[in-house]
Amino acid sequence: MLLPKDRLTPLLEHLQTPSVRLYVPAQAGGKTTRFALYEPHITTAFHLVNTALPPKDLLFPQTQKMYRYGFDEAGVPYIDPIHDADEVIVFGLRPCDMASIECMDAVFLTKGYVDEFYAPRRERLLAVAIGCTAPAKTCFCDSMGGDANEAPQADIQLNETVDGAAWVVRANTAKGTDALASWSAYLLEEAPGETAPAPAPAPAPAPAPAPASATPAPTPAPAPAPASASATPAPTPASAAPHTPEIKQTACTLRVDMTGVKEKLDALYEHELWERIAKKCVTCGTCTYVCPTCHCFDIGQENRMREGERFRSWDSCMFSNYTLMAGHHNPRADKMPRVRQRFLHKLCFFEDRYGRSLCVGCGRCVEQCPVALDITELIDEIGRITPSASPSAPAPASTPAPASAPAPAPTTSAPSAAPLTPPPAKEA
Amino acid sequence: MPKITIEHDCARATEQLVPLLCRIKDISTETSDVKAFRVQTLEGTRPFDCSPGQTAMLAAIPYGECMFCVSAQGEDYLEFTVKRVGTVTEQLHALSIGDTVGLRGPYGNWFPLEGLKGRDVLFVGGGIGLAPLRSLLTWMFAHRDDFGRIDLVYSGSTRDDLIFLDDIQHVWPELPDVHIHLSIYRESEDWNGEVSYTAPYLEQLAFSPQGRAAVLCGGPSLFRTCLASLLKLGFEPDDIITTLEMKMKCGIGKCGRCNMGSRYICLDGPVFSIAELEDLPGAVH
Amino acid sequence: MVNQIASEQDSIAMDTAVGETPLPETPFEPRIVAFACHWCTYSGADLAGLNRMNYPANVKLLRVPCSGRVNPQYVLTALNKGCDGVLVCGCHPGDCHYATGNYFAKRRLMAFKRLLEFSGLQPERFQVRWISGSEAGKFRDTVIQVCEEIRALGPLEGDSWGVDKGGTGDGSCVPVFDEAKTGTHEPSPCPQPSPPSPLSTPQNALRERARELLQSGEVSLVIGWGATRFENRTTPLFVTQAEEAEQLLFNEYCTNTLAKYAVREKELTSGRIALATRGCESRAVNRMLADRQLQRSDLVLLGLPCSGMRDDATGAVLTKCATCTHRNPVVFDEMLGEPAPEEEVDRFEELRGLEALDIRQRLAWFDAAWMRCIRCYACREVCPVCTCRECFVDQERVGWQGKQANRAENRFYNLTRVFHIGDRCIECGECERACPMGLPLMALNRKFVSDLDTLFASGEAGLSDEADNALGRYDLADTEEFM
Repeated sequence: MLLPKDRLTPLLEHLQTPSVRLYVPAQAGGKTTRFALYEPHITTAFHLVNTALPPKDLLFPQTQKMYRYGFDEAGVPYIDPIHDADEVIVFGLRPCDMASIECMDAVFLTKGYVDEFYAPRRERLLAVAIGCTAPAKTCFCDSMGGDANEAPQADIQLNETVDGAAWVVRANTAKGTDALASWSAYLLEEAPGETAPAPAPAPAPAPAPAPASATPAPTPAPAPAPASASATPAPTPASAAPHTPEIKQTACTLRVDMTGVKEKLDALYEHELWERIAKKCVTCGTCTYVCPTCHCFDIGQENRMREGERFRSWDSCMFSNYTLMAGHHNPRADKMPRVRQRFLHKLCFFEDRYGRSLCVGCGRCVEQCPVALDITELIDEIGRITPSASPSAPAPASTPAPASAPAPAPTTSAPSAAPLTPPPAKEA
Repeated sequence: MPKITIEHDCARATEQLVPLLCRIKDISTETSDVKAFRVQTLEGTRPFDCSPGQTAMLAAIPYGECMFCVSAQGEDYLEFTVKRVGTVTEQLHALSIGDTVGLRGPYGNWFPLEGLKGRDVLFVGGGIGLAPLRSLLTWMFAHRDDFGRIDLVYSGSTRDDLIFLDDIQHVWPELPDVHIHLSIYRESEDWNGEVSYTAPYLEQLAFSPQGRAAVLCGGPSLFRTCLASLLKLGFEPDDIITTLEMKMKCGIGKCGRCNMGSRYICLDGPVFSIAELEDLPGAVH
Repeated sequence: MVNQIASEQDSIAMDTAVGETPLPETPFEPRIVAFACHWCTYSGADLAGLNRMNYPANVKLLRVPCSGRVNPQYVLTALNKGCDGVLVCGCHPGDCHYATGNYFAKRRLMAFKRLLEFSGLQPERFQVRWISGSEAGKFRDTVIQVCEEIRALGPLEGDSWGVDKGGTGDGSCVPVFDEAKTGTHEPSPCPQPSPPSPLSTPQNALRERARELLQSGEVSLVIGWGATRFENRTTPLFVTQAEEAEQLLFNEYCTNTLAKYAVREKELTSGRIALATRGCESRAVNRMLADRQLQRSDLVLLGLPCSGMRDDATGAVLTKCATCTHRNPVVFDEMLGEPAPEEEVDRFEELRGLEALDIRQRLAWFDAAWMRCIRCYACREVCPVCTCRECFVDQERVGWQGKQANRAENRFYNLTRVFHIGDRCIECGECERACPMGLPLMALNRKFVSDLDTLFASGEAGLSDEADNALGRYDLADTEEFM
């Protein structure tokens, strides 16, 4: 099925109902872009590859009230849990965002405990993902096991057609199939002007012929989604088999080689590279707060007289008091152990525990780190370490910088980043 | 002797994030800054069942909550031994019998009761570190025939840092084949026992590792030095059991701060063997 | 009912003072906290009571040892806890029990009051008065007047300052905010970044000197910039080997101000540190010398001329560089290149635009900014004058700063940050550059800097290594804005 682009706004208006909160990527002032509640006057930002802030706060708010407590008028204590999950549609997730939700699910829904504040939000979330068409220079999802075109965990997936006029819509889950029923008024059964009958089961589109923007990258294996478009029970079944037009395929320009990185990290806890990497880190929490998978939290309370609320709030392993214990003992007082913890958790510990990396390659931390501390450079550097090296041996190369400047990026600079026009001088 | 196996990945909490309202049944003052609180539900029952070594989150409403080992349990109460070191513990100390607290848990794993059966057991603890050991000790005393000789090497900076002194000096030595070795670090007039740091005292007592397991709990420096001594005495890393402390907030393996390698102390710990810790980056260092 | 604030931990006292007054009824009754100096106003209030003078019960007195003890964080806390207004009362200048406390208080609170007003708080809601122990009548009149003024304004929470914290953290309350209305914040757009052109002479000289200094052992570390995998982006680089000096870069994308790194590195190395030093680094070094964070002998300053750095995504000159007044280092050991021509810039242009707005517009503008803050503390971490070993934010036992990300807490953090660094701010703009959410942090800093200059002729910070910050001293002839 197709969603013509000019029907997007009517569809969004249709989806936003009093009982459902609809979130879309939007400008939120300053440099901020995020998934914001859809309202007619907001500036949507579907063109963005990634919003500056990840969608994780829809499931795991930066501040989430858990319960109220206090003493009633008779002096009897009470504790009242706060469960406030609404029905939510998030429209416009990227495949990496979807992968990040999979990571969050692993944390909050598995390993013995189902988080009672996360689970209801997750259950009431309808995830609508849009396949990427032009990854940013910091995107590296396909190196981290993702695919910029496919979001198999999303309930509904949209992919832009080659002509750019519409999205191919398909449901990946039963929940998505159900939801699509109410979209039918905004969808076309087949592409206008397309008459050629498609091969009967068309689960995945054929590889696109070299899209305009992307380099002829190796086409990622078009993993067929579990529930393909043809499996969707269309509300009004067309007599002819619907033809699915070709969709734009793309791939990341930034590549890292994750082969053996986890196994090497198992033996690198004491390596000197951590101090070197940590030097430039300023231990702000930017990387962890813009990360779609970072899920550490603190629990605190706000009191007023004899009552109060306990809440949990995002916390960051970059902060010194994250591990500060009563009695002033702090196992990670210096920044090096904190930086090491963050990267090892992302690339090693999480995989040990949950069987996948905690980095989905969205590139937000790469883009937003105030000192350009780049996880992909770390991965490259780990790749250069020979596994047999003794733990304290110096790493072979300290930075990827070649000897002369301007330093063209060794492997991955974006091909379009070299315009010939000089930048106009800033008018003061 | 078969290898001691320790359970990990233990999700048994009946109260996960939202605490149960409980009442303080009894308070005993152990030292100038340590109190033991017996806590029961508002209905007067034991809040939940736990095994020796498990932890629970005790909340001084409305000041916050902290993770403590359950140091003992009775028919209708759980006991927590709390040293006053920070905001929350200070507020707990200010409570009186009958006051309300929040309680959630039990979290984490427990001491390997099966694995210790048939062995001699050497307990090494310092200061407040006896609190987690106490739960195992009392369990062993209740199942005395399952275990061999029991030794407790226990020390503190001064006499006032030794908790459960009444039990230690008068009750436990009377039990069959239980041997208590006390020391303090600084000489004082009210003390005529051993004056020594724990590790040298341990080496001086020269326990044989033969058929014996060691259970170790204490602050960072005691842990480091006594572990070295135990290894020197010939104990295998598999036979040394310890219980870890780490800042914890959620207790259910989500909040991330007690993460150590692939483990979460609140879920997989706090009880580990030294052999297991050696595989956990950063744990022993 | 009087509570004494003995220490920071007694915010409970504030709770009680605010909480005891019944919630606003109709007609609205304001809740006001007055911080009263023990040596004067507190006695004055006593005297008013003894003389059976009637004054409104809306005002709750909190006794402080001196008006100089009134940390501006008290004021913000009171407002966040639901007060509709705050009054600070101290001894008349010259009468301080501790000789000088109220002179310091006067400077701080004057600057702070202007900052509050700038960020959208009506000036009537925060007032300061000098009331002696014998001025019972003045105490009564002040309380009546302040009460009347605040009653006329209505409850504070209607103004988004008070207990209505705003925000659920899930994006649902993010107000839509049109920057175009102020038109002052975004850098002028520039469609495409250009590839970096190395500023060849200084870059070569930097590499050369770095190599020589490392080779000779004069320094053990050189802090400069190096390459990233992205063409237009550089990153701080720490060079310890002479042969690595070739990795140093100096081009128009060297956006990081490096000086703060020297503080930690100094603790790790035994030798001296050579620092690539532009105007901003040099002023940061001066300021850190004044703050005793560094010693001049620890550093070799390799001076570099700077003609403004560019944003790697847009190619536009960074806002912080477009308003830079010192493109060449004000202190250096050697200069590696011809000084860049200094340009006349109006660094307060954005500020005047904001000051010209109606207070309600400014409130909305800042409220939108507070709502965006994610409290990553990047602004704090990159700031060369944020050098406290323990930030007030991290003093969990004191509990200044709640961990919730909501408007009230974010405002508390951001205004306190400005107050803490404002009189030493070297206007390097690193905070605003580092902010991932694009908060207008320099507008706040510049407001403070500009006010201090207006009030106390404090000038620009970091031009020398003297500790001459305006709030660390006072003058008997200081202007008086409170009486």
